[in-house]
Amino acid sequence: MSDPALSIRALYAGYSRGDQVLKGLSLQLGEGRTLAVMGRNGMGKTTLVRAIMGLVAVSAGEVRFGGHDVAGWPTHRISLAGVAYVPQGREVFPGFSVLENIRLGALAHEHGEPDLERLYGYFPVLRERSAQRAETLSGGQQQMLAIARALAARPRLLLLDEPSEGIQPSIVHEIATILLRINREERLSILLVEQNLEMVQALADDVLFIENGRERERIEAARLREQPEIFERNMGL
Amino acid sequence: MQTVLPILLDSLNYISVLLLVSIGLVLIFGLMQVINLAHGEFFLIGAYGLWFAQQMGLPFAAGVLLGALVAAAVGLLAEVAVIRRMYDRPLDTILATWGLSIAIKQAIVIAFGAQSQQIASPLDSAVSLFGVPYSAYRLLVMAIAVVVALLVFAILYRTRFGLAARAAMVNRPIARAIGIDTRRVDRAAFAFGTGLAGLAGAVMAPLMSVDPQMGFGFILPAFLSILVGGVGSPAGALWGTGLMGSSQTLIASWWNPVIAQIAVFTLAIVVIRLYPNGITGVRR
Repeated sequence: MSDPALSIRALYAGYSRGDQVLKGLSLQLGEGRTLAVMGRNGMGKTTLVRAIMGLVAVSAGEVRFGGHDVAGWPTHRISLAGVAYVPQGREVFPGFSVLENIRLGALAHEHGEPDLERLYGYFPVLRERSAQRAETLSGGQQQMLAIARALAARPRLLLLDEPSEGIQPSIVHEIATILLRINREERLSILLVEQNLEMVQALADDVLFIENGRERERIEAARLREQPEIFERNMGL
Repeated sequence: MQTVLPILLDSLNYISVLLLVSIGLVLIFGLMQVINLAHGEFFLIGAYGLWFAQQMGLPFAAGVLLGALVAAAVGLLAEVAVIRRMYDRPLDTILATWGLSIAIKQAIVIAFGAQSQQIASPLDSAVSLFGVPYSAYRLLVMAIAVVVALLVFAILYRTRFGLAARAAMVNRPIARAIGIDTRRVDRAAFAFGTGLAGLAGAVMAPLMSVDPQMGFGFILPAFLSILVGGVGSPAGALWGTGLMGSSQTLIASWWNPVIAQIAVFTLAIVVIRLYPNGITGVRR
């Protein structure tokens, strides 16, 4: 394997010192690959993506991306380095149009303006709704907008936090298909935090189960289908 | 016409003055949601900047520019030293900016004394509008208010900086995550807002008694205008100042200024009670 797109070593992070959510977590994501991080609630999935993005304080460990250890960098510099983030709950900018939300994704970056044809190619519904206010979109459409906003930066690594949350099953499948297409066509590396098995099976090459802020078991996603007991073992109560 | 026109002009004049004072608050209170009780003191800095420039023999326009720039510089300093630590602590901000207001006021008393200063108006003639004589300088103030408001709205809605700034004020973490340096945006927006307060102070100075208390009278109506218009909606501030300013002057000319004050504040309370998000009704 060539240099990994993202390499995390012994990461400690959390909201207050002495109460760390991530306790020495390590993982590797290959260039152009997709990795799903799964685990029960409270095991540190959201904290992991927020720590990579610099939105949660990292107290120890390494986050190597693009030849740099970006742990401790201010969030906007991590974004400018090529990491894009689709947050849990989507967090599109309310009061701004769909087009403005997409433009904002590219605004601070080198090229400045989004490649609209490419983005509308993936998400045609956003072209139809481009003048509409973001908060008036359905949940699934807001998710597409949040992904388009992230892609507008032309990132090399995409972090997705529970993209299936609160979205109809049919739309979950549609979004998973589009993300897979983007991954294949642009060789975009994707780190996906997810509870939804369908999204994971549709999109991920590998699955990493985490528990109590550490990695527990890593398998190829294809094996999940053959051996459902792996899922049961890691996710069951 | 001869009786209605002066009232109309006074109304427009007061609205534009209120607009000029409020426009800096649109950024600092409306967008950044910082309750800056020192806003009146940045107004004061602008007025003293003009006065100081006139003492040095500089022309009026240079004095206004100096006032605005000094206010922006002090605002930048205040943001870096104090305000930036308080963006998620609104109550502490009130206390801190109150302290800042006292400090600035006393600094001016120490430097220039507590007495009021005279500012020479650049235009002391009157012009005749449809047969009604009206102060030329007041007309200039109206024109400046309109130009400044248009400029601020153009920056907010027509530039990339404006788009980034508005997004950063809605959701700072996400703005950072899409690459926007929100620290830079905050510094720039706060300094811009205080600079506008300084500009308003300098422009208003020839019409007022310039003393360390002069900022106070405009601050309450300016805050109320923004609340009435809708916090977070820059366009709301226009409606708010329009409503507050016109009712103030209309009631004052038909009845008397004291009743007008009471009526306007009552009106503001009623509007805020009925439309908690302001008359433009932006929900956040």
